[in-house]
Amino acid sequence: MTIWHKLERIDRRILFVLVALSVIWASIRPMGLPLSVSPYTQMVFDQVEKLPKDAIVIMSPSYSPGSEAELLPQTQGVAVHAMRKGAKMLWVSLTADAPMYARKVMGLLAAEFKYEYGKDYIILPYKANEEASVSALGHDIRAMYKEDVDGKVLDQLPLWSRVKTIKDVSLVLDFDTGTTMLTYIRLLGAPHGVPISGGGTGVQVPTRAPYIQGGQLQGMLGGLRGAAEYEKLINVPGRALAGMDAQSLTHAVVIIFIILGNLGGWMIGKSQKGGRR
Amino acid sequence: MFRKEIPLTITFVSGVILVFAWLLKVPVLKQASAELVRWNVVVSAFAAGLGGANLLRIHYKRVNTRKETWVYSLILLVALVCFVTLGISTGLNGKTYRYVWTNLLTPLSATTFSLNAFWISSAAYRAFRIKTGEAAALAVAAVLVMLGRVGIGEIIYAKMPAIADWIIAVPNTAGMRGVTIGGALGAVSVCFRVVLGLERSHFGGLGE
Repeated sequence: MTIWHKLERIDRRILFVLVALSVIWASIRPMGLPLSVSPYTQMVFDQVEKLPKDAIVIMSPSYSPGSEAELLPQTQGVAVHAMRKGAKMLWVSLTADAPMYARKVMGLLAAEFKYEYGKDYIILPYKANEEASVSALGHDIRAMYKEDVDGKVLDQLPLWSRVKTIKDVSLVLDFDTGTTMLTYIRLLGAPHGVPISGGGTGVQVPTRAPYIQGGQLQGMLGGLRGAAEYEKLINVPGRALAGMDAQSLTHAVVIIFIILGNLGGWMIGKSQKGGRR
Repeated sequence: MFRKEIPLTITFVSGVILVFAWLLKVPVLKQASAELVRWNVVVSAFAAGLGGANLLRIHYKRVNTRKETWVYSLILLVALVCFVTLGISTGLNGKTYRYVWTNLLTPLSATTFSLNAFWISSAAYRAFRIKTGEAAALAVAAVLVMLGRVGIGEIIYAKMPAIADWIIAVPNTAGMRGVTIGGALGAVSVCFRVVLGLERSHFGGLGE
């Protein structure tokens, strides 16, 4: 077996070890690699930035623990920005785990920004079937919810008295790994004119690009990079910025392996052609 | 009749109300449509319960008959029953429930998802082999986007992020638009067929 054959068929375990080492190395010794802000992230930032004081926003953490590493830093970053702007938050739960994330984020931030439950934010209970739930939100938000996540009557909470229809919501910020953002676009954005923005995993960005260009989606944070860019914009370095070096090194390892595999393949092909002649 | 005609009639009436409520500004239709949408949320909650019950039934049967991989079914049943019991008894904000969620479910899910990093790396190494013009275009685009999304790319060439953004915003969007429009047209036609009772596959064998 020649060196080219070896390059073409590198044992995948070597790749696994190198990927693991690059993540560990970057986590132990951060390199502070450069990070520019993409236009889609800037659009999300601008949407939150132009919120008037006391504007009501829907925060919708539609993910589960599997994608928490990417989406929780996004949710936290955007929540910090919205709270700096004095926005009031309705945490809508389209996934069973959403109330947990709402509590987690507000547990971390409420005291710092002096946010009071019921006055500045409300956590709404989980409703099954995102399609039906978002549609019902648009039709009649007050009929959709009567109690909060803990069973408190919503009419007793001061913030709820400001919510008459979905038109009272200035912005929807959804963070998803599935289809909830598209559901918001279809059932709240298009028929009711509520601006939709938020974030998702890195692989979702290409599927959402047409909606951003069509003006139906006001930007999007893509994966850990999106979260890191947002942390940079709001000047709150956190988990996402710390994780970018690891992602950088891992990408480099994968690219090197792609090049090596192709080099091996080309050289084998070349030698076979030469042999036939 | 109860298993076929009545569901078909309910589907037809509901579909017609929702479509016309969208197209016409008739208050009665709007009100009926809002009510139907609310009912849908309630029906969905029942469907979720039915899904859970079905999951229990299937896996109980597997364990009972000692089918291949029955041990996994047993683990699923134990986890499901324990987690549901815990959730109902302590509430979603209960200390024990949150402890299990934070210290068991979260790390397990995160670990499973993190394995993607290894599988995707291995898949990329094997899949991006340049043997044709199309494969070359795919590999070059993939490498440029990968580089453009990380800091190392910016060190290599300052405009790498802009190149990656362009690939996502122009050629990718053009392709995605076609896929999305095609999918939407297909969804509209399936919806019409369901409302008119022409599409009956959701009845299982009954619609045949």
